[in-house]
Amino acid sequence: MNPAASVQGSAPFSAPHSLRVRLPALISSLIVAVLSAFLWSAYREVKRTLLDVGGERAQVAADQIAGLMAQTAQARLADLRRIASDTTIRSYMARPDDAARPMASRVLSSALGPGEQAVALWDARGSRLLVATGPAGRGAAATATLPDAIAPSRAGLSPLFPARDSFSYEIVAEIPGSDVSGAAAGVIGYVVAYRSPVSGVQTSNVITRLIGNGALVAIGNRDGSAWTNLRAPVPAPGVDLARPGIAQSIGADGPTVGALAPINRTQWALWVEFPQSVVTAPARAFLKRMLVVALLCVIGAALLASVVSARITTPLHALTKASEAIASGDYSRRVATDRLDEIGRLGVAFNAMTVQLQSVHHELDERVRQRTEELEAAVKQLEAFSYSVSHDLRAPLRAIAGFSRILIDDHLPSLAGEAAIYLRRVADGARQMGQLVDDLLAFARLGRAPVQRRPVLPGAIVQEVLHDLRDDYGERDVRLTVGDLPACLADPSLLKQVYVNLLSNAFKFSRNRSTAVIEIGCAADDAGANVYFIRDNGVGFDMRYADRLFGVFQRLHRAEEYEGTGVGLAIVQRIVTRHGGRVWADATLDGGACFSFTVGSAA
Amino acid sequence: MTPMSVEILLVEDNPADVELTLHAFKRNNLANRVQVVRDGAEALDFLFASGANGVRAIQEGPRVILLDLKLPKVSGLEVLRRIKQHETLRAIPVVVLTSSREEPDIAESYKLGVNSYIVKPVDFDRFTDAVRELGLYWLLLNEPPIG
Repeated sequence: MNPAASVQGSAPFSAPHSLRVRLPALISSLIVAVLSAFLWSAYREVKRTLLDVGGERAQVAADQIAGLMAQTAQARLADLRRIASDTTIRSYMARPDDAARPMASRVLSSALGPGEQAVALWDARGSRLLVATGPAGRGAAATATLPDAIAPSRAGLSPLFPARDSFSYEIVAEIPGSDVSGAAAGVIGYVVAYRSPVSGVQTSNVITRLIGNGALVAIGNRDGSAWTNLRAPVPAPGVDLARPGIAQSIGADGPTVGALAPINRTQWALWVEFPQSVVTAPARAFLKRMLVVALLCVIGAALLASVVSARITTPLHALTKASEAIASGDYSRRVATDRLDEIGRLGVAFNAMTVQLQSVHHELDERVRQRTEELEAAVKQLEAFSYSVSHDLRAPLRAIAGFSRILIDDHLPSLAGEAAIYLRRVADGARQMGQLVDDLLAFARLGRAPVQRRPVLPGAIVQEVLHDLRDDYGERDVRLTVGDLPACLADPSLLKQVYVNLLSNAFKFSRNRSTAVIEIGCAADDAGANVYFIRDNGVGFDMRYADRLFGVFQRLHRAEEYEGTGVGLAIVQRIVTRHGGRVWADATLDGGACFSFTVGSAA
Repeated sequence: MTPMSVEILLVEDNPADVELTLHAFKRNNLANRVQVVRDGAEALDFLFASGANGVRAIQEGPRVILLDLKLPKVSGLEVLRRIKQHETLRAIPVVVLTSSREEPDIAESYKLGVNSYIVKPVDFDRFTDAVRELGLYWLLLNEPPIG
């Protein structure tokens, strides 16, 4: 028996099934899943927050710029009102003649604000009396571009309107009239300044610097007309212009977030927006950083998990090795038990089991050894006994047989009456007993001799036996059939003994037939095994006694009919059994007998 | 009977077997020069010319020794071993004539160099035949070693 072979015979152990690989893989994939979910939601959150913050920044900027603009416009309006109250202007308006014109014109020119296209005086009937043009609108050409009329329905700041390639607006201050007493009465005209919200590239740059790169500032009328980014006309922002506040929109370069602020005491609104890509750039940077961190986390976790699983699988591996060692009979192997966890306890239990197993195994070995010794002693005694029987029992028999024979041979004449007959009986009895002793010894020897299997041809053995038995049947009328006898694995001398005994019986029990018919052959049984048989047409026997057939000294016929000691079939059975085969008989009384046997497999 | 004339040395402790053997020899006219010894020690004494039989030249040994195995004092196998270990005596043919049909006895005897192994038959006719044949063979047919 080789226990190691059975261990190796189990399913082969492959690396992908090892805990050492599977545990870190499982932990890593869990961490990847958790980190992905976390990162995604964090990214979303950061992005949302950044958009909020961007919107608020836009709101603050829009409010501040709108406030600044309103303040500037109101301050300018106050300036113009002061001009409108100027006595020179008022007297010119009262009597606009050529004598007063240069004076009024000078005042008007001095009232021209920086960056303004023009300042004009209009009378209450809607006629322009005087124009002072700035550097941006000098000359008649410039004057021609000014609006032909105003709608000075009210003073203040007008909506933006197109002018040349840009937009302009009017700041209108009323020129108060005065009655005779000098108190203010009615409006006698207007001082109008023409300005452009496009204050030049420089202003736009300042604002941009103020609120950050990538930002867009636009100004326009709240009704959606005349929008400009302070440099050029732009479409109105795609938001509800009636509702100030933070809003998201789709700009020329993608989605934006911005804020709308009304400019007080005007019909204008100011829009400040940031591209969302700029606003949320930190979120993407955050995501990138976090991805690196997550990657490091996963790598670290995988390493840690492989260390942990190694901590688990290494002792398991040691346990497996130790188990295999035990399976192959090495009980000296112990596993480390220096750990305090479950694996440590397993190791302790394993070692205890090994010790127990070793002691049990040792005990078993010891017991087997003892039993073997006892058996060997018993066998020796039996051998001594059979030796004694063989030697000592035969000596007196020989004396009885020998001396009675000498008496018969040499002293017959001096024997009286029936003495000679009795003497013959004595001799026959001794001879018969000698035969019994010999047969019994032969039977006993069969139990001890080893069965040496070899491929044999039963046909050859049968021919040999028939040759040996020729004396027994040579003069009789025997019809002998020897069929095909396939080869088998058997001890040749023992198989020969089987055929000797069975064929002797066949000849013996068919001898009162005028023609003995004996068939030797082989057939296959249900399981396909070879069944060798010897069939005769002899006296047969009653199947009721078949169970006694193979017992030692069991006879089914009287000794005076058929001689024999009753050991032959017992020997046959013992030989067949020792080959792992089976022997049986079918017969009818006075109808012949058939003895069959199998040889068994070589296993 | 002088030791000089001994042709057959019969080593046999059973008196009945001795008598039957001698009877068988007598029937075959071989009995005149048989020396019987009754145990192994006596056999060795006779062969090695020591003890009760006095001085005897080893060279004048019997022409054949019939040896029982189960003997008092010294066993037949021991006698056989001593004979076959001796430089000169080993030349004398030894026939084991015993009741034992036991395999170990047969094997051991042949290992020690026995010349023949005969199991005494119970049947007297066969016993007589066996004795006659071995006497004929070893005394008449077999050429003794020159010595």
